[in-house]
Amino acid sequence: MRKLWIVVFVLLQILIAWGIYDSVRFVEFDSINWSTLFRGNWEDISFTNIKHKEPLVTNFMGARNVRIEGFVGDMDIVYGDVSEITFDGQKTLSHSSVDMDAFNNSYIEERRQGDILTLVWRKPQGYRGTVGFTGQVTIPRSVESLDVEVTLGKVSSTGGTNNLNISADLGDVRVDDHTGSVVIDADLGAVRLSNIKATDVLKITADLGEINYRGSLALNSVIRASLGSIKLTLPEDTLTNIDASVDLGSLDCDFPLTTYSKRSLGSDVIGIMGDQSLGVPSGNLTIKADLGSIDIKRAVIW
Amino acid sequence: MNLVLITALVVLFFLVIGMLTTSMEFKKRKLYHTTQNAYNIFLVKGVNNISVGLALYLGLYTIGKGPWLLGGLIPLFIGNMYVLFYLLGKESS
Repeated sequence: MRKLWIVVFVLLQILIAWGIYDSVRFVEFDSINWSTLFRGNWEDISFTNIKHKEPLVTNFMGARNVRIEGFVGDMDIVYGDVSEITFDGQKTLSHSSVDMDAFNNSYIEERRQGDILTLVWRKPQGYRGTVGFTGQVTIPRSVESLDVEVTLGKVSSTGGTNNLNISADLGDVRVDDHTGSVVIDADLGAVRLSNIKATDVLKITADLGEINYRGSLALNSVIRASLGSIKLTLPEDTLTNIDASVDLGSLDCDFPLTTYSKRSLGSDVIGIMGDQSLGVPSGNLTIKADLGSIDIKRAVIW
Repeated sequence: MNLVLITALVVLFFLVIGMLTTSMEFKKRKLYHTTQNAYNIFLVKGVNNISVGLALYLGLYTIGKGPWLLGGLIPLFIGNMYVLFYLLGKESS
């Protein structure tokens, strides 16, 4: 009986070894820039498996409210003094086999309802591979609200002045130089925001990944990380009501806090954060980290 | 070089390293425990690793096939090695 078990486990070990090979064999290691890996720039590494790609340039007339839904691929959002939304990049196919029918039948569907423009990435029903768009999307500056949903890939936005809502299932989110409300929901990936002037709402949620925020707070700011640390760099004159808690991890803050209670594994802060001689606190800041640390820094030079 | 060959070499390398470290760990454990007890510890470790690895593998498989599956496959590989070591050791003893 023992010999039978040995045979079973040896076969299982071979199967696992094959599984290890099978799970990485489609990764195009040639596309990875190893020098950036050793310099610590993990966000530059992309484990994509692109088998076929073609240039894709298309325009849509702009609207006050724009929704971009169901996209796959790395999307770089920029803003310009234009009236049309421009997609400029590459249509890519990622699968073990090249299915040109699926590739050719994937497109951006345009729907208009009043002043809402919805652009949906469509691929053939039942196709198991991935056809997506990777490239730059130019959005008119006149757009008041922009909702972006990317199921697989990184999203970056630079220089926006609108209400931005980004939802990324698998991939990092990066926002630079933005003015307006910001709502970010990242399932698996880091969230990095810098030079943000948040107005009414600032809501950042990351399930698996760290949050790094540099900017001013909104009237209502909610930052939540399930598994990952939160690092905030805020202006020196920040004065706000704070409700922060860490279940397992440390909580460090450069600003004065009215109350601070340390638990066995975590910490809680409910009170006022900042120098109260500057006036009365404006706005509410809620920070929750389930498993990870919270680090609130005071920006020395803005 | 062929990717299959590279993968085979990497797997073989880790297999040898794993066997060496497991063997050394076993020798260390024998200093403080009886042989039977040392083997039992390996069985517990193996079953633990296999359970965690299998759970991770099944969970990660829901998002598709890709390098993230290594998170489940590597603990499975290690756990399997412990169990094999236990079975082979018991057989020889």
